[in-house]
Amino acid sequence: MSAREYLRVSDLSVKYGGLLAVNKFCMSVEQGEIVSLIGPNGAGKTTVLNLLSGFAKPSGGRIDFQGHDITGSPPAKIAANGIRRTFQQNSLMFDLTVGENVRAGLHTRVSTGVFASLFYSAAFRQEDRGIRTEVDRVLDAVGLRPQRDVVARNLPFGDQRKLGIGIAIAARPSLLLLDEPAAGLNPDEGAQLTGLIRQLRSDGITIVLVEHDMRVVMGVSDRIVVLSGGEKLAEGNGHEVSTNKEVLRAYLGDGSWAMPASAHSENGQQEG
Amino acid sequence: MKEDVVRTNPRRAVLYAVVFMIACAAPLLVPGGYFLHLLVLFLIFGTLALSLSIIVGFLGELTLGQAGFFAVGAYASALLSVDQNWPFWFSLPAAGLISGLTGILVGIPSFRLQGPYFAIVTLGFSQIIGLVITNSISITRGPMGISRIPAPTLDLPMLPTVRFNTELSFYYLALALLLATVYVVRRLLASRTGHAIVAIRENAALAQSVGIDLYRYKITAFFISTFIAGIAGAMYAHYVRVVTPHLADVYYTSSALIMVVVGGAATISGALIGAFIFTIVPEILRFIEDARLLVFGVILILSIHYMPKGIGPAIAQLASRLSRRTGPSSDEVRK
Amino acid sequence: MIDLVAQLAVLGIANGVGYVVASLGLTIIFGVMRVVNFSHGEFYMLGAFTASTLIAGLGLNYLVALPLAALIVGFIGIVCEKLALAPLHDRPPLTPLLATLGLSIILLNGAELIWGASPRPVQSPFEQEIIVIGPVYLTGQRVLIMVIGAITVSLIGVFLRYATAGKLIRAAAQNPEGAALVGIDVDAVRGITFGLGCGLAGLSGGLLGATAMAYPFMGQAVAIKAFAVIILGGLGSVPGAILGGLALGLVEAIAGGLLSTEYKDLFSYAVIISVLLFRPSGLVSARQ
Repeated sequence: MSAREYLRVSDLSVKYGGLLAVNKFCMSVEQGEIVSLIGPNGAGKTTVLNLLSGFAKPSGGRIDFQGHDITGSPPAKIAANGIRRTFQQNSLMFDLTVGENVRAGLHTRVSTGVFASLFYSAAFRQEDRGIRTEVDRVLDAVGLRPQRDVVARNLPFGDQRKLGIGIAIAARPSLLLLDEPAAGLNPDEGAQLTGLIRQLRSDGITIVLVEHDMRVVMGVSDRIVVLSGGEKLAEGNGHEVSTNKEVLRAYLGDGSWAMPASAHSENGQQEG
Repeated sequence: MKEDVVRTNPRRAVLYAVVFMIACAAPLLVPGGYFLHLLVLFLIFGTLALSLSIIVGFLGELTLGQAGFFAVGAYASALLSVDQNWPFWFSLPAAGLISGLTGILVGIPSFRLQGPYFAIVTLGFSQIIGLVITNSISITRGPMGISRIPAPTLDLPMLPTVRFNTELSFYYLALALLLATVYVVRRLLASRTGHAIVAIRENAALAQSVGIDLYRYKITAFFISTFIAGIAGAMYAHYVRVVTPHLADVYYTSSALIMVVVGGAATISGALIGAFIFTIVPEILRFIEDARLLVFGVILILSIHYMPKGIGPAIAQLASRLSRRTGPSSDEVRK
Repeated sequence: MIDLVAQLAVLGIANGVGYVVASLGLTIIFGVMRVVNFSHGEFYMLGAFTASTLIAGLGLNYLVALPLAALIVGFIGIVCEKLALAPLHDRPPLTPLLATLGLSIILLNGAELIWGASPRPVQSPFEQEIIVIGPVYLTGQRVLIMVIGAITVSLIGVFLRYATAGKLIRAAAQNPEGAALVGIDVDAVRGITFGLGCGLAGLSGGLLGATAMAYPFMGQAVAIKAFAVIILGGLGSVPGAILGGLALGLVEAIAGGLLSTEYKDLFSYAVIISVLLFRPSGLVSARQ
């Protein structure tokens, strides 16, 4: 594994009831990159994310992160390695406030335990103050500071999305896996999201992005990997991928929707 | 109603202070030994209910085995003090520890499961505990139980010996223990462990994704819960001064469950309100004495239907709605 | 020795059939409502007490009182479902479970209030008769349990497979949303299912209650066995309940007779715990 190769996926496969949902998938991500995983519906993109984050166990292949073999590790252990993810459906603690949700994301950065709390030690109090400051920092980063005491259930959809990302970045992850963050967002929110993702990259977070919204994909990706039927179809930058015949056939043949002809800008696109 | 356990607002602090003062003065306010006896039972079962609320309320899993640990704690303390002459002040924490370790043993297989399966398995384990206690006659005296358990005595140098063998004396002992338990549970909730436990209840997948090891935290929560249940059992043993295998019966679990669910599973005050209702109210409504458990079964179902978060949170919600009519509205819409 | 084993085996099968009838209702209820009915034992108990009262109080013949008791208990089950469970069906799954616990408390203590705590007999003429087959001695009641048990299980099987109501129950069990979409009144199906399950529990109470006495707490011991059976057989699976019931009855009788009687009940718990840990889908995976 080369020095800058952060994440390496080798021949990753998973079988569900005899069906290969992901078949010998290979991918490598360098530190600081944003790699997008795209493909028609049912291509297995979220399954790959689940495999990377430990929510699914592979039946074959290998995942290495920063030199460690994390294949088949349970989610909490993968998170301990500095990997975080978001979920396709907003997966939040809906009955708790925004601030409390973000606090949960800080779990791995809290060091004082029950006994420190029991004796209300100085270390505990200090860390508690520090946690509040950190929560505010995260909320500022995703633009939810004014909503800190709002119960998550009462947030508008777009803000719930932001909260999900906020929880994931709270612990300053090394690798962030985003599962269709733009789904359900209007164009303005999509643009905000693009800006946020770019900001996360400049904060030093490596990102793997599963996404359908091509404006977002084109707006942030260093590289794009195309998945279809559980197999890698193509890989390259935006231009390479959007002019790849196999890719076009996978999308057009699928009947879902076509790739936009132009490769870049994220503004002024018509819907779809 | 999630209690902000690190910063209590001033109004709540005043309420707690008032409750504390009433609790200290209670023996003077009640007419006679029988009501004091009920209050002692309230304190002991309040401790048991609190232990149950850690799992049912804060972790969000239904455990049906709490009586088993109540019995383990009772028997452990009884045996240590009767057979080994341990003073109460050592047998009490030892009982908690033994009960907690039993809890870990039970938790390790049980927490591989969830929901109704977890409930059934914990029920099974508590029945096994009851069976073992009943049949290990050489140690536990079997169905006859252990009697003549000594009352706690405090023998400090230069002070008269204090014997906790009356309702009055035991009341203050049990009150001190309950307050200590409340303190411990609050501090637990404020800690990293407590936040993790609640996160598991609210969204287990999310909790895992931020690094919370579900299994480890569930077992930790169970240890704390069964530790406290064991302490409650030991208190009971040294108050009633007799223990029998019936302490492991589902009756004690059901009672604690009713207290917790009716009072409010996810709050400390809820567990205590439930315990109070369950132990004290039947005495005030004498006519339901025979049908006490039946009435509480009905109350349980009614509260599940109409006050799903329990009486405590329902009252708190009412109080905050009333105060909001008079004060500025906040954007807090707590359910 | 062979005689002893034969005796224990036959006794085990007889008990096993009793367990099957006792658990059938529980597994059907779970299949449709996805709720483990923690009051199942209490409906069993009600069956025993109702039969006892019909026989002793109204002078009915045992073979008449038995199905009548089952019907009455089934009806009580429908009422309980409508009042206590139906409003909760869209809440998180632990909520109806808690409600069945509440039902259990109400029924148990209600029974104690109505009938008192002392045991009373369920008078069956068959309990007095002894039937001898080779080295094996059986009471007529045990033979009756096997006969009625076999008939009941077959009838239920036929009902679920061919009767309209039975098909509705199976449809709702497999896919509640889909069933509602095609116009099946899932609420009614839930009520009928719960009534059916409770009626079966009551029937087994009337049957097994005649081999001992009826007392308010009798349901608690049986409930654990019923849980063991359906977990062993796979929750929701009728064939599983049959296999599981027979298996548990056999293992309990043989091991209990040869090893130790005090810890006989332990087997149910041990079964539950081992199966849930090592093969949670049960011996026969439920048709999902």
